Amino acid sequence: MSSDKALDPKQLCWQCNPDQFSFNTTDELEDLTDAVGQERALESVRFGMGIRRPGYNLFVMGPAGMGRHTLVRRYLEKKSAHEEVPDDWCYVHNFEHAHKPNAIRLPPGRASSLENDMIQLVEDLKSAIPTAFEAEDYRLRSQEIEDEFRERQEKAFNSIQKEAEEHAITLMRTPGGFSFAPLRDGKVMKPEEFDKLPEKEREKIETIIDTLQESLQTVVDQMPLWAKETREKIRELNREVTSYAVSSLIDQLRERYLELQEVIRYLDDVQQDVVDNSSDFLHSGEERTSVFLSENVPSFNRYMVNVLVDNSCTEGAPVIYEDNPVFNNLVGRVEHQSQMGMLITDFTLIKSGALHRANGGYLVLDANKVLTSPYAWEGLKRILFSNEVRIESLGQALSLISTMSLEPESIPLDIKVVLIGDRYLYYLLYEYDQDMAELFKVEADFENAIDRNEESSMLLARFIATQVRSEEMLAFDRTAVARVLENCSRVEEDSKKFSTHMQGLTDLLRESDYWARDAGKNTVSADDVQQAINAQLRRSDRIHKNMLESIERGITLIDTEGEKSGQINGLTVIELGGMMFGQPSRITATARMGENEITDIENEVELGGAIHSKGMLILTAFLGSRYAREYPISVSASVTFEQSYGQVEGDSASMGELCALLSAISKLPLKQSIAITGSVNQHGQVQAIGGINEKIEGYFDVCSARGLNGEHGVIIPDSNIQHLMLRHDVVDAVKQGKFNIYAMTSVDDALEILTGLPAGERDEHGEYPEGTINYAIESALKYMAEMKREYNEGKDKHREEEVEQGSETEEAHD
Amino acid sequence: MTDTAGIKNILVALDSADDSLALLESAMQLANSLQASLEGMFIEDAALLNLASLPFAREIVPGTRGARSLSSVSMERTIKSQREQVQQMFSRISAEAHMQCHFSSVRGEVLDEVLSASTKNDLLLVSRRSRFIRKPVARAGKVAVVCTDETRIEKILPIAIDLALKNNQYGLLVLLPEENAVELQTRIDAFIQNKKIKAEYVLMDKMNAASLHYATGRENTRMMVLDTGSAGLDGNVIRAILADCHFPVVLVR
Repeated sequence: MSSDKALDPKQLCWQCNPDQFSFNTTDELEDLTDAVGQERALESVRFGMGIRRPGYNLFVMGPAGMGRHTLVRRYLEKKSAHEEVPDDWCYVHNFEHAHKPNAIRLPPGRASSLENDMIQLVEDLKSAIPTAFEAEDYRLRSQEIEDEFRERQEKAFNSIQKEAEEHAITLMRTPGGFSFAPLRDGKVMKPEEFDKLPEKEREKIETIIDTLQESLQTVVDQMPLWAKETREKIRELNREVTSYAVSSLIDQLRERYLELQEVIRYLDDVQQDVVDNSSDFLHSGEERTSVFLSENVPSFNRYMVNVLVDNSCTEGAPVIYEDNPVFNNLVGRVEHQSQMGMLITDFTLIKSGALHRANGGYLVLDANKVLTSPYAWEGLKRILFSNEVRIESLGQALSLISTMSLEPESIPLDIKVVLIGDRYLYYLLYEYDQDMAELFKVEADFENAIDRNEESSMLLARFIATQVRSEEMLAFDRTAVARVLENCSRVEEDSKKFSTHMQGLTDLLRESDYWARDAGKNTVSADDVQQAINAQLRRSDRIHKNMLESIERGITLIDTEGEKSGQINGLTVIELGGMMFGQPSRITATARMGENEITDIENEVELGGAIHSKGMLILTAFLGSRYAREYPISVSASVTFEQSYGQVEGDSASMGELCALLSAISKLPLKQSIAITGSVNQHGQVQAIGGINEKIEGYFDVCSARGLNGEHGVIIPDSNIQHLMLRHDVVDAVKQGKFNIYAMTSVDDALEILTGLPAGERDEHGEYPEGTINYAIESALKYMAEMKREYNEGKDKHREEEVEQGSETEEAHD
Repeated sequence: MTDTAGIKNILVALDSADDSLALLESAMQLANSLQASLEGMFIEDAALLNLASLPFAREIVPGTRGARSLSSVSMERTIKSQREQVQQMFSRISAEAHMQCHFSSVRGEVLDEVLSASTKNDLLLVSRRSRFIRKPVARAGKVAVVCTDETRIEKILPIAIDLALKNNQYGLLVLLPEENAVELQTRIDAFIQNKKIKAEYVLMDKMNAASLHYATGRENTRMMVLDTGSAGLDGNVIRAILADCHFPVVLVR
């Protein structure tokens, strides 16, 4: 009976025949430019990047290592190469509002030339303006103005001095100002000499001095006005001289940028400012005398051009990948520099963000990084909604600080953003962020696997050839390619599919190349690929080996021989890091008369997950519906994974649990040499489970260590046959009849294999034939139900007797 | 500078003028390069003290309304304060230059004391406050030198060149009497030929204080070198220049 269910070795693993390939090595294959099996994703990318409408940004989703970045990059590079180079952008000083720098758009390459022109202009002005001011003409005119002031002043003072001298009085300069003193013999009169003068004489002198002081006060009061007039005249002269010197230089620039009105307006502002601040250029070469850095140091920064985006060397539209998409790197920032302990900034310290650099082209971002960078996602959305980039610090954006900073003019944005991330991120964002649907209207979903056929095999072979060449690996012969393809199916756990996890595939190629070179070969063959696979496993199977050792030494109890009731070997799979391995686990069940109570011990101690608990409830339902339609189930049973101290999740052991439970109820012994995996539904049908290959191999390793005897085997769901991609040593053991893989479609199939008895079907009277498994189970359940009924009746009778006894005793007392 | 033998001692007469510091620095450099001793002097203006003692003494202060009373006590205090400030500055600058310098103060008529000191010292540098309110004298500007005597060229010109080389883009402004200008200019050209300094010449038809003030005022002058030993420069002219100059004056004996 068992042999009917045993699988043919050919069903256990798809083995790629190298002869199906017409090439000898990958050197003979052409490069592959498109991603393998990602036509749908590529179509989405094409659509998303092609449609120039607001909100049609792209979210590329799929697991890491699928080649999402490569596909997007290759596509965008190809597409952007034929697109127009976007304009340059630069920031310049705003002469009216210094804290609001102006943005200027220029044709590609013109921003840096404007920057250089302005640097040159300042240098030219530094020599042209002083030269103009050193000219004889200027000197004469300014001297005239100075002389006019001096003469005016001297005239006024001399007039007073003259008047004073007529009365033998002199005008003196004192520490604080001016004073008058009477003279004697050309020197200031001493106090004792003054005291000796007749009173009339003294009074006369004092009166004259009072008059003189009044006159002097009038002059002194007028002096600031005269000085102001002089300054105005000098300023006007300076403006005239500077205008003449500056206009010719700036006119040259105007001619160069004639078609750019924004630049022309900027140059007008520059000219006006230079004329207003010509003194800066006069003292530009002088040494600094102040200890304060900012004092007396003319700064020409305001005439500089801060090139934010320079597309002079860009070919086609830009494709920018921002590896660190924090808020500032996306949006740009205004830096500060410390000056005497004070943080200062100006428009030259504005730094571009990725959005600026990608303007007019494409920006590729990792969704996970964007979402884990504080405020980056919010900032990106705000900019995409407004279609313009406004640089502001986080402090400003969140209104956390109110210190004076720059408010650069915003720059209009024409961009396609590509977010690359896992599927769960896309679905979470779509669910919880209402802006998502508005801003990322196109999704490109990467396939995890592709159908295995001749065409896809050949595409993968070309992909291998492309990688081999691009990374300068040894050529792979067709046996090696075939082995790599087999591994692609194994990774996908599906003999009908190839995994599209290109990262893992490429790693295998690199490692195979390493082992081939290590062996001194010129080409990589299947042996090298196998060695790479083995080495990968060996590097990460320490824990697996420890667990095997534990079973071999009898620490973990696993029987692989004999028969026992209520005990079976289930199969579990453990995933640690990049390693997955299977391990048998003993499932035991006990049954006794009771109240239809099946206890999942894992669940009771909160070690069972929700899906595991669901599996237990399903098998309880199956038990009742199949065997106890006409009488109550009177069984108390418990099921558990022995020596399991961690969380148990999944329902792949529910078939094993059911078999153990039925064995415990019916007392039918189960073969311990056969392990089982699969989930069961309420009708007793078996359903596919995951990790099938690792589970089989895990049990095989245990049996193999103890010595295969031909009785060992594993029962798997029939629907999992297509997923079998077993190791070659397992397949070989099956071929040699040392190990068996059985497929089941129902619990009956499993029980037949495990007991060697027929399952049995209900006859026309609804009864199972004697000698069958189901008969034994049903009989046991009926027996327990009968026992329960009798027990309950006996209990009732005993109670009645007690009641009667009690009333007789009361009567006797009475 | 090596060709200034004969300058053994330098006196710098300071007051509270804005350019005192620059003058003192120039004096220090000169003393260093000439290997001469340096002495600082503050003149307490006796005229001011007399003025302040007069019963009606008033001071008109620019920028304020009305005259302010003066007293001998306040004037003494002011002058003392000025002297202390000047002395502190002198001590600091000489310490920075690692020079042992003597500082003294005298009381008297300023011009008398200056002229008297000029006869006792090889070189006298004088800083004075101008009577008029002028724009500050630039720290960078020409050094004017009055040359009237061919025989004195080698005495005064090296000092003028040394002072001018502090900012040599402005060079020397040489003021020459018209009558022997050609001879003097030839000699001076020959003298400065390898000195890496440019000289501009101004011919003076009159060598009086007013003319010299006018000429230096037109030419952005920051300092003036006068030769007290020259026959062509009258003592009264020097007195008049000192009385009314608005930049430091260097008197060479």
